[in-house]
Amino acid sequence: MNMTINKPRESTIVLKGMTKAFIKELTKQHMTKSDFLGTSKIVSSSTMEQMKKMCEDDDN
Amino acid sequence: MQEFVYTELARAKISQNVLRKFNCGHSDFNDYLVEDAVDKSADGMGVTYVLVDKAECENGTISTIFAFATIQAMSLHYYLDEPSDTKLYSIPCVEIKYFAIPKRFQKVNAWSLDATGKYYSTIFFEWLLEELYRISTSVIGFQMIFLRANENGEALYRRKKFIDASAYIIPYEQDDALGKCTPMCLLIGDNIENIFGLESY
Repeated sequence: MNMTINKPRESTIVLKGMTKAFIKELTKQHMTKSDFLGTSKIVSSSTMEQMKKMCEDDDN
Repeated sequence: MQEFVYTELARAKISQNVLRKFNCGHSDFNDYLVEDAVDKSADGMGVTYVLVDKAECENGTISTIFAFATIQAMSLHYYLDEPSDTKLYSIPCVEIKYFAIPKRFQKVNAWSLDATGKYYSTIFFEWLLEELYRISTSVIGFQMIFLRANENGEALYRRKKFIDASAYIIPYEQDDALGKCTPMCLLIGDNIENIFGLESY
């Protein structure tokens, strides 16, 4: 069992004085609900099996 | 017809053989999936989701992992630019600590999934973003997705509108492997104008 002791996480922080510029960049490229609708997750059985076979063929 | 689904790893009860079969070409990621992911989840150190065949998931017979992602709650802290305001503010986030797909799918066009020829990595990551959006709006609220991109993933995240936050985020220590990665952020939500409590930009 891995007994590595994790260091406390450093706080991830935006540097003071840069906030407006950072927010401006973020708001230019934000995602809305419609942006999250991507490629359909429904596929034919043959496609699913072909993709499983691709993983089987992978060299370990 | 069949369907892909992201499902939580510990609940999926996937055999060790199937976990060991996953190979993204990076031993750190492969080993994390096999040896650490379930325990870390139990310790609240990140929950791992795996992309699998939905029918196999429902039957408890998962044979293949097409991708995995480990996410953890966090917050991004910031000060306002006004000198009179010394309060520390925060925005709730989720961090993608790991995202990996099998080596066999990397940099390969997924013509069988998408007529535009997107890579498998793009499609699997889009499905992850869709799942994160669902989580952010119906499980636990967050308004930003954060990750530290290595050289393999950075192009993908830029395509999906993540911004490079190197100029704004305090980096990890130089001797930390993650210090070599690029911090990146994506703001999500339909009503963002007052998300920081500031005037709209």
